Amino acid sequence: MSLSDEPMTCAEVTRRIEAFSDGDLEETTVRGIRRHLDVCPTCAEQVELARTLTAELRSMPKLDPPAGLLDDVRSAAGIPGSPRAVTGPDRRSRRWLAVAAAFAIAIAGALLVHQQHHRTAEAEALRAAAEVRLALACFGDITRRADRSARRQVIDENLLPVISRSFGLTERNHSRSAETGAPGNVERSSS
Amino acid sequence: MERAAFDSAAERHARKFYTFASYLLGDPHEAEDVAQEVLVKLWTRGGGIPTDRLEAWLMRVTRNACTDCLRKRKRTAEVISIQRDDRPRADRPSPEPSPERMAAGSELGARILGEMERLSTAARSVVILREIQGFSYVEIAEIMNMSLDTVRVTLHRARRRLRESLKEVRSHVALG
Repeated sequence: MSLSDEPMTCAEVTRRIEAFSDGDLEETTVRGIRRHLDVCPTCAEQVELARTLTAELRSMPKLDPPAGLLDDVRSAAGIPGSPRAVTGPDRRSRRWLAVAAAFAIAIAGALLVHQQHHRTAEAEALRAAAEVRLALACFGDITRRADRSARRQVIDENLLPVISRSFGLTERNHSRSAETGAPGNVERSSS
Repeated sequence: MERAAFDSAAERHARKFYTFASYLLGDPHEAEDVAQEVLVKLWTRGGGIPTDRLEAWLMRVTRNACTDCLRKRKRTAEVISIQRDDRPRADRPSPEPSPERMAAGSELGARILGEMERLSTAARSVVILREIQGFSYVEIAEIMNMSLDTVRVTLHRARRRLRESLKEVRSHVALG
């Protein structure tokens, strides 16, 4: 039985709505559906909705990754010829160092809570950052992003001196350790 | 993998897997993390993949990374929900529109993306791959590790559900 010869039912049309909207059906079937749509407003509405849905979804933008993502990956993976190819500690070591840095910030923040006289704006900001990281650590969910941001925060905000002071330490190689992400040599303050 | 081959593959395919991750996760930061993970895997393991299968391999790696990300998100949300909210994050509407929703061509498009978040991860993935990115049924079956019939049925059900949602949205707009 040809679909074009017999009137189609709503169920038959419903089964073919996507293919009809996509233009994937044979001409005889298309004619049968069109005849049904002329007399069935319910199915006609379904077809119109399917077409609108398809058109909206197909017009959604394709998204480009953030600029610099590829360079970041090249650097992180130590790909030869990358602008900042990392030498020295391997990725696993650097990850542990980043976690250690996050915990160091957390411990420094905890110490600052007990040192009321150090409640400067800088200490408050550090404590807030430490609490966030402590919460992340409690959830066992220190992500790669958190590690990275912790490392960046230590470098960008020059937090190492603050952390060192909290431990009663003086720093000798802050700049080198901040740049490499490796712990620098530190000495206990004599004062 | 050679540096030149890596650069070429990354530049050719990054847009596809980043688009997929962005729409599936609805979070640009998580999508960026997934994209980084995929690129690192391309560098470390992509050397042995034939060029004509590289796109499907990358999309499959992306799908797996997104699935892991959604699982991790759900676990975190369950812990947080004990203190704050009974509903897991995946079921809650985002507090602010994600970039891809803002980039949607129309308010209707943004609403459709919102409705897509109610679909299962598999159904949402198939809709994104087919309707937004234009992959064929065969390609989707390979990326999703599904049979062709499963792809067809999943897509059919997802579209029907989205049509129903679209009809509701329209009736609300008409009433409002």
